[in-house]
Amino acid sequence: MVSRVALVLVSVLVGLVLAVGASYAAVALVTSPPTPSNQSCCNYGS
Amino acid sequence: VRRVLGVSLTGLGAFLVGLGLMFRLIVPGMAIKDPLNEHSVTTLTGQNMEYFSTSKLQELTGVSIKAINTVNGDVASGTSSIAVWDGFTALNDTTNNAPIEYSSERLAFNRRTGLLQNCCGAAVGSNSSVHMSGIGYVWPIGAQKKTYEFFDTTLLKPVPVTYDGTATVDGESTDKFVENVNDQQFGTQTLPGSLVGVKDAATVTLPEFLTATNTFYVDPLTGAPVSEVEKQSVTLQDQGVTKLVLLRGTLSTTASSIASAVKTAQSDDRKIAAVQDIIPVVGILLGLALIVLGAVLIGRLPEADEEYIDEDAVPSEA
Repeated sequence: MVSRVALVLVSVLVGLVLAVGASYAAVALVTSPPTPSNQSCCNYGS
Repeated sequence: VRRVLGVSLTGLGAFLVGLGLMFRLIVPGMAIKDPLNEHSVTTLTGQNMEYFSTSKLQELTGVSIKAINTVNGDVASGTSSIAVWDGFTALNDTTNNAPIEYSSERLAFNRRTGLLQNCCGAAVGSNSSVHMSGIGYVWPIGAQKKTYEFFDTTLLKPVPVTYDGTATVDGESTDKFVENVNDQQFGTQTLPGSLVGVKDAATVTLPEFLTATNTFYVDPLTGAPVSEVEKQSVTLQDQGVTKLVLLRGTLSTTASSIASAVKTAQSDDRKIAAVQDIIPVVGILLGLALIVLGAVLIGRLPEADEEYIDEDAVPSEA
């Protein structure tokens, strides 16, 4: 019985660790510095 | 097979629960920020306005005015926590097809709170020594229904912007904030005395006053203003008497600029909702279900599997 509980706990622990890693990886991916937008300049005519 | 399936489901469930908790509690603070590479062009227009033409040296009334405000992010000067945006505004008399004035500013601000930072070459026009505080281009992400300090680039100081209820703008629910400025001096102007009725003086220097009621309609989730109404009066006064009107009237964001801003805000709102609401709820619920299912599968393993799993178990004597 103890081994079954341990198996569940290890599975949960591994899942949680992977989730934390995946979250930080996702954040790093979406917050990587963007390239400057190709800005059109100075068309201020009325 | 059941053991592998049970372990896999439990692990996947824990992964989803963990992902949901991370996206609810940690990820929004790191990932939901104002952009470094902002690029927007906003147009405001006003009818029946009044201003002093420096080319004609006279006050013009009943004119239409267009203000084009362009904001570009300086990506290279920004960091993970600070954005630096450059703004340029051109004010044009569209009745007489003549430029009125140009202004610019460079504001650095916290990408979550919107609070201005005194760094990175922040300046109003060519004045880089001005101390900035309060919010500038944007409200905080997740703006509250309360009074904020807004840095007024004309007065060069923060002014309270009071929460004044909600309003629907182009189908988008916004929070309305109002900045009231009542006859505050912000500078002086030296001009020929003849322009203000002082014929015996070649030049006179008069204080410049601003009276304004500026209303901002802000998307609360992103903190982005989607519409503005600027009722302003800039005058030269002499001992409380208005001598010259430099600019007077009401400028409002055009329908096309509002539509563009609302479209951007709604797109960002959906992304924010996905990150901090949908992914956590789906992840946690689905994850818990999988953990329960996996645990049940492991719990119902046959005895043979149990013995296989438990290496410390004493083999039964057959």
